Amino acid sequence: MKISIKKLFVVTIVLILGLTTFSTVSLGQTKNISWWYWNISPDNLEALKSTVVKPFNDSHPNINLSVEVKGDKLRQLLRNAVLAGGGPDIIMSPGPSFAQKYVAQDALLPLGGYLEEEGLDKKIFPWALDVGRVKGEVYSIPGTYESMGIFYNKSLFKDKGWEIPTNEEEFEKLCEKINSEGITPIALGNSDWKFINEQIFSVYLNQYAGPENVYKVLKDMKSLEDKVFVDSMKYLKENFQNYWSSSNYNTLGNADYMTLVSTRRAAMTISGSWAFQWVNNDAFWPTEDKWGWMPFPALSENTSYPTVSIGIGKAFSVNKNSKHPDAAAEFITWLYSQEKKIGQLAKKMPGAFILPIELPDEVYPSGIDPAYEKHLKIIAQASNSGNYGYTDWTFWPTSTQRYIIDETGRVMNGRTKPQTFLAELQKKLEKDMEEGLMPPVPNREISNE
Amino acid sequence: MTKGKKFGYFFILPALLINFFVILGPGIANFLLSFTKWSGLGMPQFVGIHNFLVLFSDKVFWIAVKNNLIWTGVFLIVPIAMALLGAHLLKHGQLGEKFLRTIYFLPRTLPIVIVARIWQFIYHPLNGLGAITGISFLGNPDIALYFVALANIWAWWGFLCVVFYSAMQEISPSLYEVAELNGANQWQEFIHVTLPGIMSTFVFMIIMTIIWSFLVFDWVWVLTQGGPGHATELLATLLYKKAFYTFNAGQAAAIGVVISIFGSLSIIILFLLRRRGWEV
Repeated sequence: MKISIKKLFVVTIVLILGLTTFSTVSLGQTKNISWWYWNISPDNLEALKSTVVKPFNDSHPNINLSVEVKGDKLRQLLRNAVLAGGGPDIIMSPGPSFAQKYVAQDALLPLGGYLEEEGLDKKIFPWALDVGRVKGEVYSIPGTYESMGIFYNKSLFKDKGWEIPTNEEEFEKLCEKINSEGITPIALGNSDWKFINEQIFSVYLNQYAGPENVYKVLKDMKSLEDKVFVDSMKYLKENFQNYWSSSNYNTLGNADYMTLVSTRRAAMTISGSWAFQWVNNDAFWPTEDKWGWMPFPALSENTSYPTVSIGIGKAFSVNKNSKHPDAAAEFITWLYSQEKKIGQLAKKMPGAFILPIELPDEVYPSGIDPAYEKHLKIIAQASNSGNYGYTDWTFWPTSTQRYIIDETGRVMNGRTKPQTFLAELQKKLEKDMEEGLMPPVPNREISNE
Repeated sequence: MTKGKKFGYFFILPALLINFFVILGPGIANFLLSFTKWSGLGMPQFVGIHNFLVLFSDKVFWIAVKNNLIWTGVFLIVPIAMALLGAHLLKHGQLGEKFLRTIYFLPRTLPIVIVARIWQFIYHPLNGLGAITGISFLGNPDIALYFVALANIWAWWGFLCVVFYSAMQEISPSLYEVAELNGANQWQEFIHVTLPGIMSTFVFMIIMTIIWSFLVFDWVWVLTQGGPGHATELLATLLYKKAFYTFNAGQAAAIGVVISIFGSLSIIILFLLRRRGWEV
């Protein structure tokens, strides 16, 4: 059979056009949505993909979710991309105070309708919804919430017969005992992460002055220059100088101070829920010693035990520039309704993915670390009862937060007086309040004085 | 204008366009933004000189200016003295000059972030020099700035040395012969022959050192992020924090203008020297 070149050309063109049309139509049905993530270890990324991303894509054949790791530069990349009218469909910000900035520029879509449709407005802890509200609308919901506590060498405590402290007196006695053994009571350093300064500030402010007093400050009902706050910073300074690895505070990294605890050169460290990832990692905990977690002791009569200061580690929002906002919102609501998967994440990525909903006991998978499960239950109970402390990265405005990060270290090493620090902080806070930059602080029942 | 000259402009046009869009355009935009209140998102609002007034009343800004001036002073003395000495010795050395030049230049070719991390290990309080000496190199606010600078000097002085050495190659050997016949010792030879012979390169590198000193960011960011307690805060790190941590892009732009003013001052000095007949 002889085919003319002309016929062959026509057939080829028809085939190309046919294939192009087919692929365009079929690809056009798939909604590609992206989610930019910051730092994540390869193991955690794998766990995230297998537990969340793949099951979501499998159960939603018309949506294709992809995770892109952006690392430390996520904030800058997000800002530049959103400013240029682009960015990922799912915006993962460091918390509500950052999301608030995007809302002010009309860069996020309200989530309320989506949440109500799935009944999630009843399921998510009220405070977690409230902190994401701007002018009554929910624009961000927490991708993880976290708490501050103490990680300690359980084997060392057992060998020495040391008890877990619950109040100021027990805490000081314990630190003295540890000191007398030639061991550093608390190892900590901010070499890798300067934000540790604000974590410490939040812990001591809440545990000493009490969450209720901190709440009053955030609601403009009390001044930070009040004696109770000055005393809390004085107490932090004394603790730092007497019981901490203070001379190396600015030069120890995360792996360094965790290693000091695991090798019995130090007994305890203060950290957030994210450290549950570290204690299960040989690079941070290289010995056979067992680790433990405890809530921070109540440092005065202003605080009950256990009180945990909670905060939001990452918050989800939908980008207004998204071509598929419904698909992006679909992912967020789907994630919150997957209790079993959230339980699996608790096992596979401890500390990295704690969604603010109460999980029934049966969804905790077997093999989950009991200390971690205990921690989850304590913070869930605190969240539910409304008796929690306020971390500055969630409940304070961003400019004030920066001042806390930069100046707390100077208070600890005695270069700035607590009074001077708090007076300046109060001024900044008032200015932020005047300018309407305060993140929402959920209402709290105040005891009669 | 001759036809050839006009044609010559055609060849520099691409570079001019790139400079216009990549340097001049953002430079003008930064200058204008310094007079606005801008979070980095949305529309900026004109606020006049408010950002500058806020900056000038901020003690951290003055700490950063002071640290930048100290940094500049250190870099105008230590690496330049080391580089001059190194280049002089290289010129008069007998063996391994090419090898040494490569070794000196090598740190300049390495990625700053990686080298800075290595220095962090060198200073480490548990496994590095900190453990041996008991000194908290990056943790003690009184000395941290100098030890960050030391790490940067390690990477910088070799580059200067190679530049000075290349300039020294241009000096006529007969000048050294005359100096020798007149009984000049090594020091006199250096002061009266070598230094005048490389004066244009020397002054140029001084000017560039001043400009670069006000632009330093990565070494400080990786090693200390401006801490402890602002002890190593420089204008560039403060700018970054204002822009990306507190959403004060207007104030960050104002810091950018201040950095440019310091850089411009050194360029003005260069022009003044040229007008006075210096070949720089």
